[in-house]
Amino acid sequence: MDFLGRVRGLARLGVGVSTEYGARSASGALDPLELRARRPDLAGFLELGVEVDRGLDEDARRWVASGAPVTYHFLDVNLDEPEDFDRPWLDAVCAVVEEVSPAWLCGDAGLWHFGPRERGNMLLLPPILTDTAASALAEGIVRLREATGREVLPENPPGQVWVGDLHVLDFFARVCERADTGMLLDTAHLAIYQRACGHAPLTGLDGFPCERVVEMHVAGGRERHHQGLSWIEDGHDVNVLPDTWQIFEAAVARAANLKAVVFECERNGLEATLPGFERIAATLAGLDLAAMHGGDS
Amino acid sequence: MGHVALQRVVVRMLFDGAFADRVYADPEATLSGLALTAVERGWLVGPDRRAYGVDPLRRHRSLQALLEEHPVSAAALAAAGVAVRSHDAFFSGPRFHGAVQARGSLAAAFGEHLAAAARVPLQRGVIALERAMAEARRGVAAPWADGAALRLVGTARVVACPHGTLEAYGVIRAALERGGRSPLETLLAGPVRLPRTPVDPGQAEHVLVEATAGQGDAGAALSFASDELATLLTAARPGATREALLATLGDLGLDAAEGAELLDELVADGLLERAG
Repeated sequence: MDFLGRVRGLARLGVGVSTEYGARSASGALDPLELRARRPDLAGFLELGVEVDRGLDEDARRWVASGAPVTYHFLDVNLDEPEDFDRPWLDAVCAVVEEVSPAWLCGDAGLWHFGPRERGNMLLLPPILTDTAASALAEGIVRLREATGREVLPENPPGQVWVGDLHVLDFFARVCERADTGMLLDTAHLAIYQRACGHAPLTGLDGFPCERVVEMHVAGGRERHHQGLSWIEDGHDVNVLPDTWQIFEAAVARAANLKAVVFECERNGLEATLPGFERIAATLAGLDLAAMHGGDS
Repeated sequence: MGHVALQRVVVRMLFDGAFADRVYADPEATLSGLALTAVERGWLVGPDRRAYGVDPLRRHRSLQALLEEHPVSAAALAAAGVAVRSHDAFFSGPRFHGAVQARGSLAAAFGEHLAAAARVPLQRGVIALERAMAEARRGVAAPWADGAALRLVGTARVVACPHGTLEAYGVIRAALERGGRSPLETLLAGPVRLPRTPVDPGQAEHVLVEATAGQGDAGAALSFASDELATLLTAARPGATREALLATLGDLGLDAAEGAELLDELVADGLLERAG
């Protein structure tokens, strides 16, 4: 069955929140379970950021123990590098998948580390935007999907240096087609890309197969300056930039198979995050998305 | 596969501003030797040059991780005047660039960088120990030699160093952790003064390094290895036939039955592994 058939079987998760190991060590940071208790409509699932070397922290384990839905966001694999799929790592990923039973796997399809998977080598860079790189990435997605038995949704990463001859949306359209998979569209990352490359916020969206978008991310960012260069830092703040909202609202309207939206704000206080969550929820409600709210797409 | 080489050059440009400047000034000359087309080289200099420098802490973060894995080496060098922060230069050097472009281990390259700075036996000894610890933690065994039946496991190493190195290592490490601080905090607080830790380069000692899971940078057990055990494990490192290892043990005075029993014990103890 092709992806557009398989997507009908994916769970509808609604609006959710993300975490990664130690996220709540920041003073006053959001407790996902507290948010779920107060506003279950805004915390329908938890996206677990996972580095298998670090595993799951206490917050993640408590959420999993509650039985509420999760997705698995990898933080430690270069999908386009065959060397990265070593047996110990794959075994560890499968063990976490077994433990938390995620609705799907997802994560930035970029360079998480240069060289072997070592602590000093960790970073996050976007892929090289070329046709051959798209094919290599697609092969990795298929490999991970076959190894875990779960859908693997590539996410467009953030970055300031973009190299290659394709627009990032054209690149991921090729990746999705060749891997026959869905997509996690990070609207904040796309806003960062468009700004860095001098494009308007919605450039490239018309030609993108939005029916493959299963999940979206929304996050706040900070405008920074370096030697006179203005750039956006992917800070996961609560202050979502206008460009990001514009992309989110335009993409949501076209994403017939959207199942989940994460507001990435894990290091902020609960009260401060509510306006962002509510705007996301209101946008989705206004569009009456069948896939998100119960009807078949 | 041009995208692979391109991605690695991007990493090098992000870490090394002077290198990025050279790429922008003359891509063809700077990147000669890499399988990149003129169009691909052009992509590298397409972004605003300043975009490569928006993260000024990139080197700092990586150096921190490397120093956390080599604290005693850095302390031994610092006590002799090699400032801890001077290791930032590693990211502008050929070992860093070579490791990134060849997908090598950055920790291994940093270990080479430290070893090149060593001037006295104590420094050479503790650097050798911490390099072996870093290797053991990564658990990569040597490729099997043709016909080999046994080899040293990837999570173990045997190090030959000046007599007194293991004791010195423990004393310096404890000094770095005094007062509940992390070794890195102590290093960065400076100045670094070493406890009295004499070593004797006229005599060698062998240290067995065994990685232990789940303990981060402290995750390696160190113990003395007899000369005989060190000889055997060193011979087994790249893999060897059982007969060759029994011959080595024979040279060390064990008869065939004793040698066979010892090899089986080392397999059971997890120091040697069998092919297949």
